[in-house]
Amino acid sequence: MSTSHSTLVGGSYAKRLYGASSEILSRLERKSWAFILLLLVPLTYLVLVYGLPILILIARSLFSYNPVTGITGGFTLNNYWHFLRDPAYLNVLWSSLRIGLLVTILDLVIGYPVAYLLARISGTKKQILMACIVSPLLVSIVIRTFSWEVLLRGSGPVSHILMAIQIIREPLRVLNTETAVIIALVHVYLPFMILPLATVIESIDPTLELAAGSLGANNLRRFIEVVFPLSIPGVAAGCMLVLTTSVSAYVTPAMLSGGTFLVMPTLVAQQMQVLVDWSFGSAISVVLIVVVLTIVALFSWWAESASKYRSGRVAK
Amino acid sequence: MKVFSSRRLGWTVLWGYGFLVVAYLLTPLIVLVTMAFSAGGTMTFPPKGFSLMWFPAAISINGLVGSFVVSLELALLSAFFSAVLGTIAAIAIANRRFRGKSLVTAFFLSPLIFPTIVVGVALLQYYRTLRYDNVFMTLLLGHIVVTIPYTIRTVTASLEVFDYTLLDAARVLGADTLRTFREVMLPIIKPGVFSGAVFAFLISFDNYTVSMFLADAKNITLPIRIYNYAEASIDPSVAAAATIMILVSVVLFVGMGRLIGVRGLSKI
Repeated sequence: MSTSHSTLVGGSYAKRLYGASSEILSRLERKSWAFILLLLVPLTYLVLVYGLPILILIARSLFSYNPVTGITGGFTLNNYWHFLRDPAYLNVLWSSLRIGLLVTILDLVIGYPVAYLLARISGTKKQILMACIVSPLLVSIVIRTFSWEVLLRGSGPVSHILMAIQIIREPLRVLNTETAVIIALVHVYLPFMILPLATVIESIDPTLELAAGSLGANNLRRFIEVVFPLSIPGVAAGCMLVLTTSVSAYVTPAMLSGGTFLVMPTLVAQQMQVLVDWSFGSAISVVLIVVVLTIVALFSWWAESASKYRSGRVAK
Repeated sequence: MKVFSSRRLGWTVLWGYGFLVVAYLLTPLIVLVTMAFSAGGTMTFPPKGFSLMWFPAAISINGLVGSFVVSLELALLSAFFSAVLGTIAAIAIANRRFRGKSLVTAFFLSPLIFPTIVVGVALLQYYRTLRYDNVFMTLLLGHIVVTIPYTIRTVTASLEVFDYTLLDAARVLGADTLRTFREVMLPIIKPGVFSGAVFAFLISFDNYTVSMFLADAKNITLPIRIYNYAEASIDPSVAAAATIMILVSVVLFVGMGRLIGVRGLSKI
């Protein structure tokens, strides 16, 4: 019927074919020492330099800590109570979530049409557009954030332009506010939204849209009833990526908040470096881990149920 | 006919919007680069006159060249080791079924979404507990952790199109495991290994959040140096330093594009 459908069938056929041969192969190799060694080398490395340190961090958050004498006292949940009871700390958590959600929604709204455009063009045009979207990722995040700091200054270009066209009367005072952090984060993570979205939209058969059009659906209806529902896996992937990275972003909030407010990562840094309370810093880190893992779990679940729906629709 | 013209209008609007978003993405960087060529003493836009004076000034920023060398060594070594470890991991997990495979895969890729700042904090405590104080090594070990997922992903992607019957063929023809790997598998997955290594280089070169907990006075990486300097200075030398850094990244990326093509890049 459609090209994507036939490639889907061809793909699964090829997979069955190679799957069979690789099954023979893996039956031969499954218990071989070579395979176990191959797996053990990177696994050991990551367990020693990544898994274990995080387990120790989690353990540390469950003990009270004295910077002079090291660990004192026994098992306690005090570090968590300390965080959960204090409105100031809960406020930091809320700022992080609020900024993350706003950035994600803005990136989705701004990025979706561009992802659609990217998915539906080809050749040189596509390569140029792709290069324009990817190229900011090549520039250090410190530098990208710094350029926003320069742009948004009261004496900076944005302020001058807005005053010249008389949208504002006094120099811009957005630096050191949450707005500045959001503006920069939306910019920093926009490519992370566009790329997974474009990949999924590309796999939606364009003839479906033509069919909807020939049945009398206008642009808007084609989008709402055909393209968007089928692109949900991409929406979920993009949102998950942007939300997790913006909630755990350090450099941008640190540079643009000017110390006027904290988010979770800057709070962690403050506890670790300035106040040297490692146990409390560890507890805040664990809260951040839980937040990120919850986001991942929610979006994976959403993406999975959406792709079930999607494959059901495409098969029909 | 009506449907057709409304479609065309839709495309025009879409392209116009696309240009706006690209402008939004690129403007901050263009403004910063423009400021690097200013003849004035402060960062104003449009810049006052044209001069190259801020480039020598950037290079003579205290410790900048040293930090560049530290970051370069760190990024090259991270790229190398994470390419080696990532390739091994990808070969081990690709196209095999074993108990706990999804768990192991998730663990291998988890540094991608795990808060980088927590990795930094955890490593700081870990090294202190072990009393391990070779700072460059602590940085390197940490950078390898955050770059491994990129090489695993690119190599896994190139293994997806790998025809495993080739291995059987090589074996039938009498090649041992090592030779099969070197002469059959490696040439085919090479683009994946290379692009993974370049990504690892860029991620390491740009890393701030892990490094900030581990760096000491002798091993200050370039992003930390620029961050500290940007906070303190008002003249365009930071913009010039940033322009040099952008140039280094672009050269690398274009080199990689030549190697594996833009289509290859877009798949990552």
